[in-house]
Amino acid sequence: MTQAGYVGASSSITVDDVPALYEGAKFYSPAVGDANKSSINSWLAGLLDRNGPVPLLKVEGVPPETPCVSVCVLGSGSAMADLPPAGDEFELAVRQIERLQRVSFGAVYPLAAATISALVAVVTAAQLKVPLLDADGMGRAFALIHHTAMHLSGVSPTPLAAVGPTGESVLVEVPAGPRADRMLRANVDTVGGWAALAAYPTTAGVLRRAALPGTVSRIANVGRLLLDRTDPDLLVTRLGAITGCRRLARGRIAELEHLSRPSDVTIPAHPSSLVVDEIGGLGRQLRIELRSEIVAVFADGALIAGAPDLMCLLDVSRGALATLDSLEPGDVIDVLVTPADAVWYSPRGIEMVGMGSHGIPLAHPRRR
Amino acid sequence: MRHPSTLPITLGELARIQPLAGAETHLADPARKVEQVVLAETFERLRRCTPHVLVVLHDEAATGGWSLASALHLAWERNLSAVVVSRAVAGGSSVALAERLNMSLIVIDEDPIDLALQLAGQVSAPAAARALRQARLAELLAEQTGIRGVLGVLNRELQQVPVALVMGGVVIAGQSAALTERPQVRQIEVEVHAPGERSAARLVAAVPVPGPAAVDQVESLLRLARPSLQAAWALSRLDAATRAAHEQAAFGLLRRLAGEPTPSEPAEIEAPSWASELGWQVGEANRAVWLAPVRPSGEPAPEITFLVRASWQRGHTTWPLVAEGDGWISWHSAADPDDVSALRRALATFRESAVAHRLVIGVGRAHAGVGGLMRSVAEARLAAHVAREDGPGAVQWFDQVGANAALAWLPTTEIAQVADLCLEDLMAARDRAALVQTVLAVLDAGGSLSQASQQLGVHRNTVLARLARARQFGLTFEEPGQRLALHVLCYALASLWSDATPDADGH
Amino acid sequence: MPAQGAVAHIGVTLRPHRAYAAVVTGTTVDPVEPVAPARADLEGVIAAAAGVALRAPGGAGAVTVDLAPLLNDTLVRPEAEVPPVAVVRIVPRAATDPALGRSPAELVERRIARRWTVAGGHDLLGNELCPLDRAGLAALCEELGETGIRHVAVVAAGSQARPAHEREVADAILAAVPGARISVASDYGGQGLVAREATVVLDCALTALTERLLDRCERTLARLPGNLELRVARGDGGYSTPSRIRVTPVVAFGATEALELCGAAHLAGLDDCRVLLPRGGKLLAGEVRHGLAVVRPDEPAGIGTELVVPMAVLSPEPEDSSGHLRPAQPPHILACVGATISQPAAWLDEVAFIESADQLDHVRRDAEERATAMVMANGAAPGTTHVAEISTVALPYSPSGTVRVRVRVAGLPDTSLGRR
Repeated sequence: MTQAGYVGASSSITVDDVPALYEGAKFYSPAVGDANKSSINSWLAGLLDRNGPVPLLKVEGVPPETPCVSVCVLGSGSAMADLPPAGDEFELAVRQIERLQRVSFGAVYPLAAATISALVAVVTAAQLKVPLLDADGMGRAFALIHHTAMHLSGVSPTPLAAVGPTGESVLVEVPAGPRADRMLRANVDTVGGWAALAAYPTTAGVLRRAALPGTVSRIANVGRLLLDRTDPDLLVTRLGAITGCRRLARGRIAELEHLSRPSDVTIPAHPSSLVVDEIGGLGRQLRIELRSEIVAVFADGALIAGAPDLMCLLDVSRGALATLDSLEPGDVIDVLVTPADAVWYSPRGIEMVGMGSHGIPLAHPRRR
Repeated sequence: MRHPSTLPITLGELARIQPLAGAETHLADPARKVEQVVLAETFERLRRCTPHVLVVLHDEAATGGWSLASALHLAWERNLSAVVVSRAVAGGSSVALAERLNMSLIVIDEDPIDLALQLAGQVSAPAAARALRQARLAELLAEQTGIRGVLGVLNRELQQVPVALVMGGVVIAGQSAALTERPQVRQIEVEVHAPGERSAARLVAAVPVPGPAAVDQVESLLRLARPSLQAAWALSRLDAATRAAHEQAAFGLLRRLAGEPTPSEPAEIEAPSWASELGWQVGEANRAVWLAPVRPSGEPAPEITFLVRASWQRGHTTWPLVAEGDGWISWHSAADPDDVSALRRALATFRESAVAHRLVIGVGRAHAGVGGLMRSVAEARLAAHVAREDGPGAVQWFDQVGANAALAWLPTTEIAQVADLCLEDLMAARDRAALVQTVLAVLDAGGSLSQASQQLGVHRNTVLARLARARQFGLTFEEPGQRLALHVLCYALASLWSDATPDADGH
Repeated sequence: MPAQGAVAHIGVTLRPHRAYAAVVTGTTVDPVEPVAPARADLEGVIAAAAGVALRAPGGAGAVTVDLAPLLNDTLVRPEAEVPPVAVVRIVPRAATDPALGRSPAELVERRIARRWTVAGGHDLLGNELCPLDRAGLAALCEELGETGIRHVAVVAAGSQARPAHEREVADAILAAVPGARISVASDYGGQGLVAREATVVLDCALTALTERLLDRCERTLARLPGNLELRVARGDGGYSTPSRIRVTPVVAFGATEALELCGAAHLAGLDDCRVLLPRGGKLLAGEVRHGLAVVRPDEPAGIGTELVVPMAVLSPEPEDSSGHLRPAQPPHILACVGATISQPAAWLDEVAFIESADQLDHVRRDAEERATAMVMANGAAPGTTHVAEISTVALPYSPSGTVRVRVRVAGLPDTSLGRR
């Protein structure tokens, strides 16, 4: 299959792509640490080895009537690391919706092509022996399951099924998408802190307008750059060429502050912030506001980047991404910012996932 | 009746009165005026602030470290005077950022709304706020019992305005920077009459114009300090008089101790314990200092002793100062006889006062023990006599004087009377001073005419001519039998005439 | 009491083919050559080093041994004699995928002779997810007794927060197989079931070898004059007492890198620096901050899985390495020097739940206190301990208030231990 004008696209995912997918997925969400990296990678590699490569198709390359479903990991990567999947959770979740809707899904796509969610979509496709769509709902990771391009396009997340590592499951149907997340959170805590989610059952035709295209092959490309551990400066330049990211500043972590904003229990992870002393440049004091993702970056009090921008941290001394659960005072980091997909800068997008949703009532730097 | 100032209140002034007096302040510029207080609940409100506003953050604008950082940045952009915020929001990094942006940050424990209301009242009625401040200052001043304490309060309170207490041109307490004349600084003076003093002291403040404190405010604050100062003065005079009597008696005892038992081995006498109770040290290397008026006129008045003590003991409160005869004795005790750095520093600081009080200073050599101290005192006294030659403020070290000290003791007046009798012609000559000076110079130079002419600054032939004329009047110094007597005579006449130049001709 | 003058400390690193030692007295470093080439084993080298050290004006101090190269060598050689290990995983459900039921690291998996999964486990905050399957446990004990395996690694989901299931399993096994050597994951904290499991498997696998090595060291020292205290270097660059290491041998694993970094920094007179170390023909970079090697729980090179015991993790030489220290001394000297200057150390890596700033303070203080107690057990003198590093980070996508707390504590040697 040749796909003209589709730079860097791959037509299938093989065992060799697994490490790159993992690293690239980390770039698009710096939340998750590496505590179960090797076991997740070996799980996926084993499946691809036994069941063969997973075809990776553009949404347009799939007949429009094909039923498709998204999967993701709901909850905490740390919880998943400590209570690893038995292996059948994602498949079981998809099968529940198939039974409910009496369909047989012809393709799987990641709800978010970031974090372990990107990898479990490949796992599910391999288990179901169906292709994976090169598209997703977020183009990064956001906190709640209705923070998707599909939701903005009017596609309902439900019926959805969540299966925990305990083998227990819930099936949720709600008329209004945003209610689904609230109903699920309590269940996720009960089944061990994370669950396999199958949601947004729809057709490929709908996804042509409702999903963000090319986001799976993109993480593979980013991951290859990251695996090729090079000098941080060179790495940022290369990443900039394919993601549009740029370095905001380099600095040393001086302090971690907790509960830095009033907590809002509907969103996981409490607010905290990172104070970083810029090295070189203007010697500014950077303040990085965290939730499950990086929410905003201030330099000497001036907002220089904020959600929905994608911000991530590069551990300069190791030339590798720094994850939010492993930060320590004294670490030298590069703060990188990458523009998110355009849909997130629309008024509805900003309202849903912008800084205001994290209690920072400031205008986005691009809008001033 | 003086009108209270209605100038806008400054940040520094606000920070000195409640409610901000109890707050943690990080003031970038206490002189910043505060024209208005704004309670900002939103960032939108912050953006509408005008310069010189003090902003109290609240609600949305005070939700965490990021909001304070953002508010500090906005305040910097809008040129606001200060940002006030609850402690819960301000961390160490916020203070660091405020310093980076040179923005004043005040951290409070009170409710921001209450505080903003109080501050708004103070800012809208600066005169009332200042009255409050004066009341507070009066309380602080009343608590002080010493002159230094009073000046300390004034200097702390007036921050960028140095204040000094000056008497007879000498700084007795406070910051001597108050006396330095600089552009854009106005000096304010308030006279302070101490009870029973002949001359008045002055409180001097150097007020930068324009500056944080208005001139009339500073003046009223200085007046406020006057009663406390007078009370402190009286008390310290009383103390000083008692102390002076103590020290005089104690030193007398020390001297007797040194004189009595074994004067041949003075170093063996141990300093009695009461010496150290007075704060005196008598140790390995005692170097005495004799402070004496250029022109002795009997025992100095107690107030002079008081002033000399005040300036001599600045920074060396344990150094003794004992009035004796027509001067004062002090000494410095060190382990190393060659360690004179502390003494040199003290002498340098004292110089200004020495000039003002027309004092000269003699310094003895370092000797061990009580007996050594007495020996050093005698040396210092000799050195001081030599120092008189160089006028007020002069310092002479005995180490550099040696036998020349003897000359200082010559009864010059009596010798001059001898000259009147035996050198009648010379004394009648109009150019007698030049002749005596020339003969003295030649004798001093060991007979070398060229050296003498160089020293006198005249031509060698002039020297030759004067010597010939002097010889006619009987100054026949070439005869060995007369040389010493004539040398002494010339020395006496020269020093007498140089001391009293104005009426030398009108003799 | 030691005589006046600097005390001589001995650092020893045990490499597969020979041992190396150096005597460090104040600022002087004496590499020790064995008396005869044939005596390059640990006994010969320690005896030679003690001979040098005992002549120092201040007398001989302690002997700190880096066991890591020998431990590592044994693990990477498939033919090395290591007692078989049984693994008991306590999770709500057994894995349905073979890759998830085993360790991703071949090096770990080949030491495992038998695996059992027992239903049970807790979440990260200690809530029980599934009652412990006691029938399954009984069956396991019976089967284990028949296999003859005596080394058992036990790991339960959530045992860092609540070790009850792990303890019950360990007690049952000990009752059924008296003399079994059991390692439980809750002793190490950390994150990730797979990493925690690999850590206890290595702990079991290394027990016998560690015992033998420490026996030899102690016998050697017993024959020497002067009551030399034995210390064992840890993966984080600190040291523990031999008795602690016998119980938790995996802590000694991977010490060499941290020792080399600290040794290089010490010789250069630097407290903070980045150091390049030669590894397999390439140069790798590590870091020293405040005199301690930067360590983290990560995947040590060549292991194939993450471990929860922190070690110095070396990264590829950066393009611009001009600011890096390039030590002139050979790596084994650096390791020996690093061993002589190492301090008693301990760390904690836990998950906690907070709802207010006060609670956060409490959680931090509590972690600091426990880490301090641990470092004293590892040989620190009371009153000399200090928190070298502490970090608390919010766990992304976890319930609001969930924090990961990491504490690293160091202390000064309790010299009274040597005279006991």
